[in-house]
Amino acid sequence: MSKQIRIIEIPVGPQHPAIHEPIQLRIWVDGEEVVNVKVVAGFNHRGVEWLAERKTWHQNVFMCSRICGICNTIHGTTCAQCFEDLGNIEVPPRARYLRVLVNELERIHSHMIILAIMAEAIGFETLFMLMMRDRERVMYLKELVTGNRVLADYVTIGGVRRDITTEICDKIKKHLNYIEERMKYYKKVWSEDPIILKRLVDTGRLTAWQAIAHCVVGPMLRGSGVKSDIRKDYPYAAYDEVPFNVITYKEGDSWARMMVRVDETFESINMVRYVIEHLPSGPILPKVVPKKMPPGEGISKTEAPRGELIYHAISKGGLKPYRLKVRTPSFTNIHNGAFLIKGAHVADVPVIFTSFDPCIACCERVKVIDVRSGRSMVVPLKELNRLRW
Amino acid sequence: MEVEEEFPKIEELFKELGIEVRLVKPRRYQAFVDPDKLPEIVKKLVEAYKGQVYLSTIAAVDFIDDKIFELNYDMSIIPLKCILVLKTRVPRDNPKVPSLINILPGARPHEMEAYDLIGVYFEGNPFMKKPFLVPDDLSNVFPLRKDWKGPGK
Repeated sequence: MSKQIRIIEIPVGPQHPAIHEPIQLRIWVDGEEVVNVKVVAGFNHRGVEWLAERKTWHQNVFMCSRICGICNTIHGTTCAQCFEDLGNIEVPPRARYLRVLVNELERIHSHMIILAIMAEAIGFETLFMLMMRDRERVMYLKELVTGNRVLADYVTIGGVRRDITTEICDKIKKHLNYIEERMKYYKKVWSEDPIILKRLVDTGRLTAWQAIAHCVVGPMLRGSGVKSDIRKDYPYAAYDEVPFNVITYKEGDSWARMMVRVDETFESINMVRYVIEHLPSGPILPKVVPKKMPPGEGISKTEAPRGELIYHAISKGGLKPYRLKVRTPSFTNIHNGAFLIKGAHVADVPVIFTSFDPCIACCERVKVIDVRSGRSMVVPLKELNRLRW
Repeated sequence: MEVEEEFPKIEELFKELGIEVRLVKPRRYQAFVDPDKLPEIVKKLVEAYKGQVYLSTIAAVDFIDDKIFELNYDMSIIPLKCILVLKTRVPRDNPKVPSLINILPGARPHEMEAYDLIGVYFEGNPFMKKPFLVPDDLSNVFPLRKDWKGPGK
């Protein structure tokens, strides 16, 4: 009797209705163990780098904000900083502090959304609802400061576009107290709840050396015990003046990566408070912002909620960049972190992938193909989660 | 990694290699290297800083007037808290660079992206394929080359 084929291919993705960035994971399973994984990318490639060469410097800041919906301000900040680096433009102190304020508000809501999505992925839907409810307050605060709930377009070359008033500062303080109280409760849940610990602890373990060699960034790196935070290592905006701690966890598993995000939220809340207390007076934009940039090269590295974001601009002078390279943290985290899925159980695939904070994208629909009979069926992710493998 | 260790400075390391390196901005070094020597230099960097070096990105640029492709390897060195931009140039008619995949496995998607968009071939990387990011109908062009004007042109 010939040996039976036991390997089954499961395409996970590419569509997810909740969050952008569609991506497909092709996993091959032997029983319930994943033996191979392949990341299929490019479903949403919009040619932003190509477009950037055809737009002016100022237009590019707005276009780059649209690369990512959740972390749009950090994209705008990095792009503006890159061009400021190229043109040697000085940013006024008040604008530098306001950039920290909005970027930290963004980090709070970004970390809250991924914590909520992880709760949903493991079937803890009450926690998902509660966290999304509290996250809405942060969105409200962002709207107060920038004028928009999501796509802020707050940062521009040389400074920021809106100033802040004392009434807004008072409202931010009031709401932050509430959010901090709620986050304390969520931290207790994330560190003590037996279901969360059972699903997250020891899944997708990444050692410090693996993390650096595979070039992963952000909470994935810090969750493996590597003390690397761009805000501390290469201070930009006003991060050299605002005190904060770099959070690291040594465990390196999915739980550690999520706990890094929980603790960073508290740091961000304190940073927003510090900025409001110590906001310098003065203008928010320099008197003259040039429309043309000199020939040269500009690099800007920032710590986006998902990790290191880097912009590299090459200029030959004139109104438009010659080349603009954008490397988002999810690009390296998804492609280089995918090897963690090998050897895991099928039920752990969504957990490991969500712990990368990949703008999840992939995991809503699963197609199971039986290689022997050629039979295929489509299974929603929720059913896959419920199955006892 | 909590123990403070002594690490060599970038200038000292490159002096040994006989390559000129200069500080262009605070915490940002830049060096021009030969494409064939690239793996050797990166290996030396990884050994000197005890593995705490990662590749942030590869920014490939098409300088069509000079008939070259320029590759900017943005290396981040964690203990020194600085960026090192390794610049290498390859002729436009034969763009081949040795791959870094055996030294830094994380270079794989960056090299795949550079091949997909600009068309620089990384020798030794088994994942070189098209299309990686661009749609299937653009699989025979390199969209970020300056002589490609856009779809249907």
